[in-house]
Amino acid sequence: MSRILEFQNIKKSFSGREVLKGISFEVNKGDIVFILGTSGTGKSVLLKNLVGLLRPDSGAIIWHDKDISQYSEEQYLEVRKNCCLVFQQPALFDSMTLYENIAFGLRRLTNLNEEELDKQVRDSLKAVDLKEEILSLKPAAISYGMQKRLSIARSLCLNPEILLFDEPTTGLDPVSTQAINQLIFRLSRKYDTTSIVVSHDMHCALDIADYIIVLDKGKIVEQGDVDKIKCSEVPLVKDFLQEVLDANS
Amino acid sequence: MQILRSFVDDLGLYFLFLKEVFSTFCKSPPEKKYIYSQVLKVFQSSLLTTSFSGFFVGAIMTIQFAMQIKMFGASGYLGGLSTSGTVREVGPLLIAFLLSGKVGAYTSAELGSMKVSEQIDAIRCLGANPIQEIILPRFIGIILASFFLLVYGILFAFYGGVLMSYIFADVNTLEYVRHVPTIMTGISLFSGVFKSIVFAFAIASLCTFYGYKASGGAKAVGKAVVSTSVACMFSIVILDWFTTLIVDVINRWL
Ligand SMILES: Nc1ncnc2c1ncn2[C@@H]1O[C@H](COP(=O)(O)OP(=O)(O)OP(=O)(O)O)[C@@H](O)[C@H]1O
Ligand SMILES: [Mg+2]
Repeated sequence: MSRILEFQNIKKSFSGREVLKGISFEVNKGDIVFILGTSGTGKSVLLKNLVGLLRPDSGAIIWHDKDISQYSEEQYLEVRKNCCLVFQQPALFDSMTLYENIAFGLRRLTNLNEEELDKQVRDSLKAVDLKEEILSLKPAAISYGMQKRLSIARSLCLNPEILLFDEPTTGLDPVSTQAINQLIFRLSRKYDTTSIVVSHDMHCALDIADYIIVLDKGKIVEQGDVDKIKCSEVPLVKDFLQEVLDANS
Repeated sequence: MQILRSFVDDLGLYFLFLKEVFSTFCKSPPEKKYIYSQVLKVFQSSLLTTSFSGFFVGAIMTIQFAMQIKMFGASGYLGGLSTSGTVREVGPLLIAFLLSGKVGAYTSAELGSMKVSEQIDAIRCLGANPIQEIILPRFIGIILASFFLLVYGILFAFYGGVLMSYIFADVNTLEYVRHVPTIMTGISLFSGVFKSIVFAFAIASLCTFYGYKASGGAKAVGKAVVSTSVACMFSIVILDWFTTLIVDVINRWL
């Protein structure tokens, strides 16, 4: 297993309030990493630091043996092509058709011709279980759940090395939730795509994760593989586990 | 104190924003077709309102002047006086107010909602520069369209003046137009055009700035719209005074 990404003591404050208080962890190629934590602990901020939407105050983010945290906006293009973030909100461009939404990144980050691009758009749409009929619609015409899946397709079509999901299943029905989790699992096993998934859902983390990180108030309180998490003594982790037990019984 | 500080903060951010917009414009200008479509959009949406308000601005000016001028029996100068006043001062000012409410508020709401729904972040993540693709077409589009609209509105003000002078002051069109060139000199025309450009720039820069700056949920969009309207009104009034000074200096210098 080769290490693909490493966070080294990442700190980030907003107007004097420290949100990330020194986060360090490593990600291996092809792994599914779940980041769990209560609302407002800085999970989204952590992901945004990786793709350069926010910059850490201190610490390093090592990607392929290079510290990317000090990259310029141009240098970040290379990172964003290979690490795609699926946002917490669908964030579709509402003046464009769904087709153009998916093709947006392809047109700017790759050199595909129209034919290849078209195939790529349709393939990624199929991967998230959406029908081709909707491609000519605008985002407002489809449901929230479909929008979320379309935003996954928009990142998926770039064939990134690392996919970052910010709460991909929040607000979805149980069936779609299951489908998305299976999709993440399939991508990881079939194409060796690395996934980092921010979530509240311990149940599905235990199901598909290779590695689980639990954040609380900007700090990592527990990290390890599924077996380690199951035997954890940390109160917050126990609370999460208890909820899974309650749901099962 | 708090208000003063946030005002100074905003002012600083505004100039940083302008700097970024200009440097992006020099390095990677937006595609022309995006600018055209913005110009068209703004123009179409505001054409009717501008015509109406322009017409009534001219009408008001003429009626006001007609009441004064009749006492001195100088009705012949009505056209000249009212047209000059409309072109050099009242026309640009009132129409700019209208556009700041219409175009300014619309654009800041549009950009603000794109910002809070993470669309702007998504644009960056997908390899595009939001200043180049979203801000600049609107910025340039609004400047161009507002400028044309202002000039167009002033034309309508002239029609309004002609009609009102005929109805209320018994001055026919020929008589109205005859003294326009005598009173409305080149400097009046320059003043009107100059003001239109300055106001158009103020509206375009303020609405894109406040929209782009919005952050933190749906409430932030409302806040951006309010800030845009207030800032536009204030800056238009202040810039009106300032441009009048400049025109005056130029006038004396000539
Ligand atoms: N751009 C920003 N400016 C100022 N504060 C911010 C910014 N982004 C995030 N924060 C603050 O950082 C904290 C963590 O936010 P974050 O969005 O990362 O939470 P989260 O863990 O993703 O929570 P949730 O599960 O609700 O999405 C919050 O208190 C938020 O107010
Ligand atoms: Mg979040």
